[in-house]
Order: sequence, then structure tokens, then C-alpha cells
Amino acid sequence: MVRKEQLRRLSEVVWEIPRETRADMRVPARVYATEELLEQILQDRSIEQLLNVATLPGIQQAALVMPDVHEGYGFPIGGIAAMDLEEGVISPGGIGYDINCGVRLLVSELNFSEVEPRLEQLAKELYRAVPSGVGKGGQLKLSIRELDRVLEYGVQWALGEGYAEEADLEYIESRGRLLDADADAVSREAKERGRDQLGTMGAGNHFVEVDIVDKIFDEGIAEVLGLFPKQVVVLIHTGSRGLGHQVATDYIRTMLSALPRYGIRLPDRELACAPINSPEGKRYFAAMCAAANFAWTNRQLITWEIRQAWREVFGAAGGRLRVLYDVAHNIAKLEQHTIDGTVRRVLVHRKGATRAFPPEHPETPAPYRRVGQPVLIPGSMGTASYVLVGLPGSMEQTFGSTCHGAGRRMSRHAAKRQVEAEALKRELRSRGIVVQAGSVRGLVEEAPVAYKDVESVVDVVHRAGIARKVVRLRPIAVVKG
Amino acid sequence: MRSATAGFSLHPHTADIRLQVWAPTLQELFCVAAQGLAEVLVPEGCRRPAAPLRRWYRFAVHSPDETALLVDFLSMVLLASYLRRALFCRVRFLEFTPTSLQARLMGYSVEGFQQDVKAVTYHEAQIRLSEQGYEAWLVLDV
Repeated sequence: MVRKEQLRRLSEVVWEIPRETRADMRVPARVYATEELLEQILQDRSIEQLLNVATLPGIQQAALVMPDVHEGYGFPIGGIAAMDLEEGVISPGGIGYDINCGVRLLVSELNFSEVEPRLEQLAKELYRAVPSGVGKGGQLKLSIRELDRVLEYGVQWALGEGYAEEADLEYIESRGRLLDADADAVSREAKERGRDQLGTMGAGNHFVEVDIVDKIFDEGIAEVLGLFPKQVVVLIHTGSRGLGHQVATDYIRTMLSALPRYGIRLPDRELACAPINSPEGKRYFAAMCAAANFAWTNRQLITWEIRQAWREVFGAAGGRLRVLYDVAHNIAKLEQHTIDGTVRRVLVHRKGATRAFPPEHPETPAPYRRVGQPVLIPGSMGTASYVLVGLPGSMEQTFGSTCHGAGRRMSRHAAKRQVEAEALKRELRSRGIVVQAGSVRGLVEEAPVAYKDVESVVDVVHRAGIARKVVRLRPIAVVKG
Repeated sequence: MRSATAGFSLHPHTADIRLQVWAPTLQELFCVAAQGLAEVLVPEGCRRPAAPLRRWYRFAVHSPDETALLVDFLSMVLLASYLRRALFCRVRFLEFTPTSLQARLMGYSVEGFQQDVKAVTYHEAQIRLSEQGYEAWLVLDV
């Protein structure tokens, strides 16, 4: 286990483990946390996993973790690693099994007092409209040929099929389509798992949540984003479902077999990787991009389902549900960053980390360009979520990245022992939160007590100058599988 | 707690589930690991099958070593469960070496699963041989 004495404090919220700590480390490792969060982080093996990441070929500057870090497999959840395109590797474990798990925020024109009388009905309608639960399929079952189009065209496909509005695309990271996707790089098995899962939420920590804008930290930026006090918004958290899980499984296996060919030795098999320029690396990247396109299309179809439910409940008076933004938090992206004074293209792995591009970045939607790219940080069930915007510090310190959520601190088993379902429902109800959940077990596993305090997580990235707090959201209805 | 010559137990992990399996032979180890995975997907589902085991799935796996073979085998069982929407309770090996196998799974159709197992990971997976037989720990991503 890594001890606190091995970390050097670089600033109030940044800690470094020097490269010399372990002979196989190629770069130092950095942790973004307050002293109190650091004490929590050191209780599991996430920092040892971070040091393992620092050993990967081609890693640049430092292996990084955000304050919501927790132990994963191979890479820690909450990790960021940028790889040189010539000498570096791509690792499916640095992206995660749920490729392009991410968050989308829809904003309504209604305020709380207009929604409150029909909140119960809205929650029921959302639960009915968005299929959820383990391995559950949706209403759409695509042919493999049609699915291939989803994998290559992403949300562009959804637009052509009437599931998106033209304006939606502008407000999705990479416009919901990675051009390097190749459907042929995705196995038949992965496609079989995914062909009926578009427009479905899944289970675990995935949810659809109705929130209100509860606190505004920066009025000017909130106005640019179109956010106002007591506004009702809808948060979607899900990813690429079984298709993405199978892509990761397929390629971790492929890369493990290929390791001897490239002379790569790893401290943990789950870090399985291949040179970015190798046949295995290129094919995985193409498959990962395809799975990412599938995930964005999934969140788009859920958006379509939510819009249907919204109209069903509020009719024409409900107005429009606009996409504020959609961000991935399990992905690898080709991006330009300044390293040692030189602008270079690198492959940035984000596993449980969100892109946070600053003002004036060309990839930020034009209407938001002067304030920065929106960053969506969901809290645990029943607790606050946050909207932030990226700051220049993210490009200087963290390859344009920030945290992704509250971060788990308690096992599901421990949560089940500690939390009683009916008491949890009562507690949520007493706080004015309507719950529609398919599984009692799923509900208690995601109880707020199982997570870190999202407020302290968000405060760290705000204080580090990576992202700025804009508004806090308070949940009023939670819908989950 | 190891209570029999072959068996499995489930242990907590920060975000996931750890599966411990043990058996006197390698083949039995793979069989109980499949039962452990089924227990995560549908608790008690194989101890009290809701229907005769009429669904089946046949596959072959090749891996670099026996630990990778165990992970790859369980990944195939998981894939079969999702593709066939079935709980597989029994395994018959048609071929079994430390680096390859052919297996036939037998199970029954289910409406759904209670736990979303995204993947069987290689994280810290290691088959160990002791005087009592084989033992392995696996992490399931849920």
C-alpha cells in the first residue's frame, strides 16, 4: 500500500508521487484531493493502480487521478493518461468496460412550481418510456446492417431516423460521432448483445433523474448556458451497454495474447495494451470509437423517449427539452496538447474522467465558446449534481480533463448491509424526491452513503483551476433499473 | 470460508464483486466458477432451477495460460447467458487442456438477471495450487 508520507504536496489540492518511487515508473503520478479526501483514497489500492499506469510505454508528463478516484481493475476509476502516438500504447483497461459511459443534461423551459403538481406522473411516465434493468432490451431491434450504420454514424444516424433534432448535435461531445469508427472491428457477439439495447438505461449506477437548478455560483455563465433558478432539468447517465462491454472483453483478450510480440511486461494483466500504431491497437481504437458512437446514440434515443414522456405529461405547455451538453467519461480521444512547450497530438485515456476544455477551444460549441465547455458531474442518487465549465488550468495540468462523479467509497455488499430499502425510500421521500426503481437491491446499492461527498470532489477541481462551478442541481425524481 | 472440497464464495469489492473458487481439480474449478457467476446473475438460480436445463451453448476457447483460460471461459459463459437470455448451471467439457477447452453449457431461460455483470476481469486473477487443490480469485465488473 502507498503511504501518505510517500506523497509530496504540490499545492493545496495536488499531491505527487515522484517517478523514483518505483523503478518501473516512467513518469510521476499526481493525485487531486484535499487532505481529507486523500486519507479516504489511501484506504483502497487506487494509488497503487495509478503507479502501475505510470509504467505504461509512451505515457506523457504524469499519470493523474481526480478526487473521485477509487479502485478499479488495471487503471483506477478517475484516472487520466496521455500517450505519445509513436511510442505509446492504447489500453482498453484505461477506458473501461462501459465504453463512453457518460452524462447528458436536458434543460426544460419550466420551473419547479410548474412541474411539481405532475411530478409523480412524470416519474412514472419516464420509468415506462425508458426501458431499464439488467440486460433489458428496448423496442428497437436493429438488423446487423442497420446497427453497423449506428456504429459508424452515431447520432447522425439518429437524426436521419427522426430520433434527434438538428440542434442536438452541436451540443454533444464530438457531435456524437467519432470518424475513426469501423463497424467491422466490432465482433458479431458484441453486435448481438447490442442490437436491441439502443434507448435503454441498463442497471447499476445508471439513471434518469429530474433535477432543479438549486444554486447558481456564476450568473453570467449560467445565463450563457441557458440556466435559471428553479429551472427543471433532466440528467441521463448511461453508456454503451452490452455492446461496449463485449468490445472491451474481446480486445483485452486479444491484447493479452499480443503482449509478448511487443515485448510489453505489465504489473497487472488488466492493463493489457498494444502499441497505438500496431494492428491490434488500431483495430481496438476503431472498435472503441464505434462503441462510443453507439453510446451517444443510446443517450440520444433515451432523449427521444424522455421528450415523448414530457409531451405526454405536459402537452404543448411543456415546451422544448433542449440538450445543454453530453459528455463521455470512459473514452480515449486523439487530442492536441502542449507538452514541454510543444503542441503535440496524443491519445488521452479518460476512465471515470470528463473532458473539460476551456474557453475559446475550437471543440467547444460556438454558443458556449467564450465560457468554456460544460462539464456535467452527477452526484450519487438523491444528492446534488453540478454543472461546471472547463478552465485553462485543465489544459495546463490534466490534458483537458476533470472528475466524473462522486466516486464510490463503500462496496455494494456493505451498502446492502447498512441500508434498509424502505428507510431509504422514506428518507428520499422526506427530502421531496420521487423514486421509480425496478429493483430494491439496485436502489440500496446506490444509496448516497456508499459514495463520497460530491461537493468536496467538485470543490477540489474548482480550487485547482481545472473547472469552474456554475450551478448546483437538486434531484426531485430518480428513475432507475 | 472454504467449507467443502469444491465451492465458491462471493466477497465485496469497492465497486465490484470478488469471486473465490476452489476445487480438487482444474476442471472442477472451472465448473464451480461458472456456478459462482450464475449465483451473481441470479441468486439461488442454480441451487433451485426454475425449469429443466434445456437451453445449451457450445463453444471453444484458447488462451495463453490456465488463469487466462479461466477468465476467458467465464467471459464466454457470461456472453452465452446474455445472448441466450439463460442461466447456465452445468458445464460438460468435451476437451480440456491448461490452455484450451471445448465446453457445452446447460441451463434454462430466464426473464432477466438480478445483477448486471459487465465483464469477468483478469484483475489480480491467479490460479494457485495448494495441498487442498486449486484455488482462484476473480473480480467481476458490475
